[in-house]
Amino acid sequence: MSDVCPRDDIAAYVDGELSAKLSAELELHFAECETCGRALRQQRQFLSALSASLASEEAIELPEDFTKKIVVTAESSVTGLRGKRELLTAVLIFVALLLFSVFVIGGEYLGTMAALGGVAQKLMAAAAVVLKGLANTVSGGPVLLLFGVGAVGVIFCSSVWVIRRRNA
Amino acid sequence: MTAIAIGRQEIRAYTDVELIANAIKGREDGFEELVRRYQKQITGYVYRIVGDYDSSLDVTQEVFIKVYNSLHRYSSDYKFSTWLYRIAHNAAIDHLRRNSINPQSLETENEDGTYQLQIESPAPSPEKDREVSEWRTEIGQVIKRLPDAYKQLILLRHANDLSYDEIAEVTGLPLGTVKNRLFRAREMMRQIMLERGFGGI
Repeated sequence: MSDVCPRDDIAAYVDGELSAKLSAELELHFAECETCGRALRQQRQFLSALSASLASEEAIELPEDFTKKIVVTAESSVTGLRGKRELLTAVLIFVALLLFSVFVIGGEYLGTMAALGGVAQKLMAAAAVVLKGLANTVSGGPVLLLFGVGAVGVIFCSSVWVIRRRNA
Repeated sequence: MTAIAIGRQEIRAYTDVELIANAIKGREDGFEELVRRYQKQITGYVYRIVGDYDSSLDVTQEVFIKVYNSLHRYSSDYKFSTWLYRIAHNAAIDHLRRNSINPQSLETENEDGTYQLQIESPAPSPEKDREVSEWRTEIGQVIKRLPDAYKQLILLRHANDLSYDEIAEVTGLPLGTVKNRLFRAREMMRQIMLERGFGGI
């Protein structure tokens, strides 16, 4: 058998995996090359015996409740389809409750809520002034900038991490 | 005939893609039918790779849970069975790695991309031309002892009837490598059988 004889092509040919063109070329080669013709017969015999052997093996027996067990376990797993649907339900409930509180009980207490909002806004402004004062005493510009960038970075990284974990 | 029986009959006629669509919409029997359809093939494949009955049940369950949780990511560009086999293939190999006590896990690829048997073959038997049934038992033993890289391809092709393209998709190997390794694996098996006195086949 020469080095140019396509031995792995013979295997693919026996498996019916060669294109019509390559198969025709190989058939011409079989007619000329005795070694490849013999290799073809050997592979055919071997493969039919191999397939018969694997087919005659008894199919694996599964426990009776195997399917049910898988389905129940899959549906109780927290990620995936069910998780997504539950998330949507949770968001809908939240929005519904919010609307309910604003339109039904909100009318009477809206004024109070606005006043509370005003107080919160004032508190936040005061906190900002205090923070700025603190930053000035530390040494000003660069440190504050570093602190700000760091905080934004941490928030960004943790959100990415949470999103990737959910999708994993 | 009862209503439930009719329902079952109907769902059996569904294609895989229709069942997936049903499962995504929240119909539980869609997923159940998919499991019923493929559980034996997948457990059989995993069992032959892993070599232990209980572990193969665990791995199969793990595979279907993974499938359930990623159904919405399934793309109908591929056959569902190919996608399923790929998940099963990876899970079986992961299992082998996690529990790598068998010497075959130490196998290394040669420079020319071939693999060697890591276990010594028993001495060849002097008897010639054995019975076919004995040949079948013996070939089963030879498959078990093949290097994993060859064994997986032989099983996907000859026990599970996947095409070369599907095997390439399942294993992530280039098509040329699939073709070449299948050829080498079969040559290796044929040689071992000859050495053991199983000539004439």
